[in-house]
Amino acid sequence: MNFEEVYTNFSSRIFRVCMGYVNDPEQARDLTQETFILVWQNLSKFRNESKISTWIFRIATNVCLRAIEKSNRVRTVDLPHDLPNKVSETAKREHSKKLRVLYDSIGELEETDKLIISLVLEELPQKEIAEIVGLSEGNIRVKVHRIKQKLADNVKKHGRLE
Amino acid sequence: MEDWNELKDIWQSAEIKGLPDAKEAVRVIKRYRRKVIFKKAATIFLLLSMGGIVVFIASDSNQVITTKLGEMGFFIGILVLLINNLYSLRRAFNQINSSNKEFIKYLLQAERGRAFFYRKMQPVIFLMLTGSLFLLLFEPLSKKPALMAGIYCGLTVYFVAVWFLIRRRFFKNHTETLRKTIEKLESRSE
Repeated sequence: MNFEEVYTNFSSRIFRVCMGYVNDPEQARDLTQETFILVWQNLSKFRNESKISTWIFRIATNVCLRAIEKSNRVRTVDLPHDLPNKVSETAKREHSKKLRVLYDSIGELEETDKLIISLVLEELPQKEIAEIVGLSEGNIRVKVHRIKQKLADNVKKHGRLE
Repeated sequence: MEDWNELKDIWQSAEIKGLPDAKEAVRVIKRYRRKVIFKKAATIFLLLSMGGIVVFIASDSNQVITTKLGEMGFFIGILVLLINNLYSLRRAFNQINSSNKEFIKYLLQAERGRAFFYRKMQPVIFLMLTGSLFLLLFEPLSKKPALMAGIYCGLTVYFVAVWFLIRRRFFKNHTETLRKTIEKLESRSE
């Protein structure tokens, strides 16, 4: 897989994971770019010992963890939604509100839990998540169950999605 | 619990604005890399040049002991900065592919190392380089006492200002940030 293919396949997914972690589109874009700089530098060294998605998400999540000192930035209201033009303004506003509730609810989770739930929302198998985070699959299963419950509680607190 | 599938749909419907396409991304990355490499190369070149100049000056065997001590101090200071620069870069590069758990451990270690560097090493290097400069200047200025007094007074005022004002403020801000970062990392590694 060459870099352009990797970028096309993963950039949106990486952005969403970064966004789940920092809840700030501008910073999420910076982190996505930082991730792909590292991917570009290391792609020739990637030896297929793990799936490429595991490798890329591992780099992205580590880049997020490294951004710890910038994590106190004020969140902006600019959300990364881009619905088709035919969708009405009301529907757009409604979608934007739901997205805000979701990001705010994720934002209240523990730092590493934010990353785990973002990977779950990206539909990564638990085996891959375990490899990325560095915990056993059993441990991840328990964690994911607990985080989902916490997330649901947070969503309720922020106002239901509907 | 809110419907999990709905949460997933909302998450995945967040299309992305502002990310460049693949070709543009490659251009941006190449430009960024060139800038980073140039900056790093310039720093290493500067440190090596300074080291080279010190070695060249030191090759003159007719120098007095103060000049030789000054040169030695400068050389050691440059060497420490060079090693610190190269070592931290290499470690950070190697660790990015490890699992989050391992990476947090590494970050914690690195931040503690940085805190140690700012608290212990930086003042030692600063004092060593300051002392070395005073020693180095002694020989060429010793025949002009008035100029020597002027330059030494000026340098003393400058170093006192750096040590008590700039460094203290920088150190305070920096150690506070480092302390918070270490606290956060410690809570994550539990």
